[in-house]
Amino acid sequence: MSLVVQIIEICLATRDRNGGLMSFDELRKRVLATSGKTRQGCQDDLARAIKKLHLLGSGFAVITAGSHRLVQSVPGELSMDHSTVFQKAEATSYTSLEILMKDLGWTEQRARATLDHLVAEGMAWVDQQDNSGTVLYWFPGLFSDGS
Amino acid sequence: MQPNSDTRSKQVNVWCDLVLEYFKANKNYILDVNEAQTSPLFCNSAINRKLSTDGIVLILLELEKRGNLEWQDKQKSRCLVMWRTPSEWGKLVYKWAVDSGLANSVCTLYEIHSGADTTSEEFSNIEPWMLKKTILALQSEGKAEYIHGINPDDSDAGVKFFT
Repeated sequence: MSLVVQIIEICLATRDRNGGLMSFDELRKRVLATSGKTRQGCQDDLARAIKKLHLLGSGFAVITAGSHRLVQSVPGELSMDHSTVFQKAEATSYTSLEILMKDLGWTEQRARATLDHLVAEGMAWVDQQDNSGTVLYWFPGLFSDGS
Repeated sequence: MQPNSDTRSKQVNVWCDLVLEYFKANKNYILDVNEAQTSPLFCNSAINRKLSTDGIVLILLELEKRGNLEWQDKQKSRCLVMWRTPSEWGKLVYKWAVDSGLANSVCTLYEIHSGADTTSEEFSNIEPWMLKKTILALQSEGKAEYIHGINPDDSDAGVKFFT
C-alpha cells in the first residue's frame, strides 16, 4: 500500500477523536505499525508524502510548533496562534485560558478566540471538572498512548 | 458533555460502548440511576472525573433508542441494560434453529438455554428472562411463536419456529 494511502487511512480513522490533528511522531508510529516492518528514513518519506498530499490541496499540512511537528488533516484555518497553543499543550496534552494568558501574555479575548476555534474544529475537548476550578482543554491528537 | 456536536457524538458512542462492556463483563443487567452516579462506571476516582447526572441520563436515553435498555419503572430510576439486544440474540437463536432443522417444530426454552444441543452456542446459559424477550422479539418479526407453559413462572415455556 502506498505511503500516501496509508497516511490518509490513519488520519481518517482517528479524525473524529482528534479533530484531524495528530503529532508527527504518532503518525510515524502508526505507519510503522501498519506496514509491519521498519522503514528506514521513514521520517523523510512521511514528510515527502504529506507534502504531496498538501500540494494536491487536500487539507493535509505539517505544522511546526517550536521543535514539535504536528500533522493536520482537515482543511481549516489554523493560525500561528493555534500552532502556539499546540506547542504549549504538547507536554501535558492540555491547556487552559489561564495558562495561555499567564505564560504567553495573551489577552483573555485572544486566548478564548483561539480555544473556541479549536473546540469548534473538534480538536479540543472541554473539561470542567478540574479541582482547580479552571476549565481545561484537552487535545486527543496530542495523546501518546497510541490508542 | 462536549459542546462541539461532532465531538459529542463521539463522546456518546464511546460512553455507550463502555456501559455495555461494563455490564457484559460484570454479568449484570440492572442499573439503578441513583446508585450509578457514584459507581466506578461513571465515577473515576483515579483521575477525579465523573460523568454528570445529565450526561448519565443522555447516555441511558441513547441506549434506550438503540434497544439496549428498558426502563423498569415509570420514574425511570431503574433499568435493564442488555449488552446484546433481544433482536440481536434472536438472529443467533433463529439461525441455530434453522440449522438444526427445527423450522416448523416446537421446543422448550429450557432446551435452548440449558440443553445439551446448544452448549457450543453463544446463547447457552443465557438468562431465561432474556431468552423470553428474544423469542418475543422473533415473534414480532414473524419468525417464531412464544408458547406459554403451565408453571406459574413460565419456566416450561416453549417456542415454535417458522420458516
